Amino acid sequence: MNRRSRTAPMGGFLAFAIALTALGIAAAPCRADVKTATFSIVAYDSVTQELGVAVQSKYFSVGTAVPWTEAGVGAVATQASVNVSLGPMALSLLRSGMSAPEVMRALAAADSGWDSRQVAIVDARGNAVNWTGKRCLDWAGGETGPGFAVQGNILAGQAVVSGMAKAFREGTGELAGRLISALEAAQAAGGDKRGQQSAALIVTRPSATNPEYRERYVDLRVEDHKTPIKELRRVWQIHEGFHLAGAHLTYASEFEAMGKPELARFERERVGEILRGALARKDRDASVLNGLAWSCAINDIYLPDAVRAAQRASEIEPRNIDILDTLAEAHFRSGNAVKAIEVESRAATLDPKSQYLKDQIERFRGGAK
Amino acid sequence: MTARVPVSLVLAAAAALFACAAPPASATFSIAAYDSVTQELGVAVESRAFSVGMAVPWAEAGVGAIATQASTNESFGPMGLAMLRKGRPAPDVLRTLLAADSGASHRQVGVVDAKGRSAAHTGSDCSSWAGHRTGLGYSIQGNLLAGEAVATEMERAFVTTKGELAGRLLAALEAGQAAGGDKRGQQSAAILVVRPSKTFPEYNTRYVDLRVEDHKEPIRELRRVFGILEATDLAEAHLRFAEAYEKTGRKDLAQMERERVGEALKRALARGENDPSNLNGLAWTCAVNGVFLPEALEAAERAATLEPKSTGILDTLAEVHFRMGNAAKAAEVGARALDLEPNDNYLKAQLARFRAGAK
Repeated sequence: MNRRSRTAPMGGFLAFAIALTALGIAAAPCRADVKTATFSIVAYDSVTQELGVAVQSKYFSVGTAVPWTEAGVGAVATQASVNVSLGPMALSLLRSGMSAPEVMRALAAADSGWDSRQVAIVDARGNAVNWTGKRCLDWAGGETGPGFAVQGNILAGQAVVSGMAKAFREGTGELAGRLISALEAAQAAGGDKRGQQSAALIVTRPSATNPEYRERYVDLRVEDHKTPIKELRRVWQIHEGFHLAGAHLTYASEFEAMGKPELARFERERVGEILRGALARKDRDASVLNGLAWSCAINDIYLPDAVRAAQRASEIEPRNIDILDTLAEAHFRSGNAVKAIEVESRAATLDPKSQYLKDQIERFRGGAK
Repeated sequence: MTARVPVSLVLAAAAALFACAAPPASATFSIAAYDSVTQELGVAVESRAFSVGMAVPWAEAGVGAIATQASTNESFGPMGLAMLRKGRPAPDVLRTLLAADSGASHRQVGVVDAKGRSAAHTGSDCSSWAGHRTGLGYSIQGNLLAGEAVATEMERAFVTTKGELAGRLLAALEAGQAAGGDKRGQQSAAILVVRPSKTFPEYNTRYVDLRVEDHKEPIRELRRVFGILEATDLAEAHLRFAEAYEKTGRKDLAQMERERVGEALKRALARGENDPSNLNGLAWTCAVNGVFLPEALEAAERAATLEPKSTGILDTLAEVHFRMGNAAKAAEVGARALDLEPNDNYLKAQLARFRAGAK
């Protein structure tokens, strides 16, 4: 993208001058070869109804400008000589019932700088389109497939975009994870010519019980970083353990209530995938491991993995009462009440006044044979 | 905001729980506020929890700003905004949200509407120190804090700090931290400010929208990235609003918008800003708009000292000289830039323009 670029200061002059001209401000002669770079993916998941955008750029805080999405409506990326307004405008047109191709035509007709824009839209039925104006700088282009569009400008080459498409097509599991994998594949294929600065990931999802998911199901930012995609992956892994596991269990309950046990099971499977992923990569974040272990324990799912995760968390933070409580709970749910009592008693020696821990021990005793 | 395990997990699993975990042990402080001149609405927040910006702050231009925290009910954000959108006053919206929530005693919420009315709630089960302060146009709230001083210092900083809303919100967070902040330490921070604009609809949902997801000093990092924003997008936004105000005959407000760019530039110079891109961004914005030219010159010169081989910075420096009426100096600096990139058509055009002006 190229608003006024900070590191390539001449970079945004074109966009800036366009904005100034539109406002009738006399601008200096503008530089034609705008030197910033962005690649992004917009995508839709027909099973979960998730819509999302992932983007990285050699520009500060790309997440404020490029990605726009709303559950049941669509996902949009606006970049190159970026007209940020195209984001909310496109969502508003999609909301009125227009399809992604219709919205793209409408935007083109209303934007005098269209030749300098790069825009991608996927609607809530999975129609995906993108546009690369002929004044976008090399290499610039895109690719579309069922439910997704990938695009970028000032890239190392076409391989960046085709690598993204391939990674997304071949990816499995939840949408957000596949979007990050697409960014990683793009970077591995050369990424931006100019380097990296910021990245963002937004996914939205319809929900009957949690209206916030319609706007923020996954919403993570890396504003200014030397390796933004790597940092995005790192915070995503924290997010998985902290928020997403809980969200999946919320959806599992929603689906159970709707009489769709197969979808409920699918949501719970995702929690198991997150837990096994954390164990496989030897996650050292005790609170992530603890959160995952706790949510599995109290839902009686993936109990052997939950015990392993809680044990590892407890090795990292041996004096953490919450982690000990989780470990005890996981043992108890696994049918090992004796071990549960032993672990919880250790917690109780660390916090002898806790009525909660006393009640837990009592409960485990009641379940012990 | 979150519990021993994420609140979302606890809520999700509530039905399956027969032994509920101990009361949430987390910590958050935030401010929701309104600026009656610019119509900005915003929230700034810090927490000992991951990615607080995803959960706590909610705002929409012309509607209101909400901070929902403690044992967080995130749906208060979108639900509250939906009620505010219908024109219901902040205290009324807060009452309705709490009346429908069986966990109200664990919640902490601050609401400010688009007329500046504010309301806050600190549930009786929030961990101490927990409390709030409200006034015309703002609501400050926190839980698991070092003490009441955190809230009173935030209030003092917000009320006494001048300038744009985002800067005042950040000053409040910094004052809260200086007064002890969270008992449990720090992890994430966020600022969200929205502002009505017909020409630029994105400002209605994202005027200032910055996040620090997982950091040892999130408030300091938030201030750092705000410094970048001030020098780039926010400077541009002020000039856009200045132009819009000129068109509607509000010269005083147009002047205020331009002054804000100058204030940012002066602050950058005063704090010894050494990021050449930030200095260059501000200098260029001021130069092409013909405002704060002496300060722009100082900033461009400092940027050129830091990065003497940047043609972009040299071009800015030349442009500032030119706008100040010193075409000869502009041509000299422009020629230096062209020496570095002899095939650059833009730099050639610039130099020709400076030389024509020099005659």
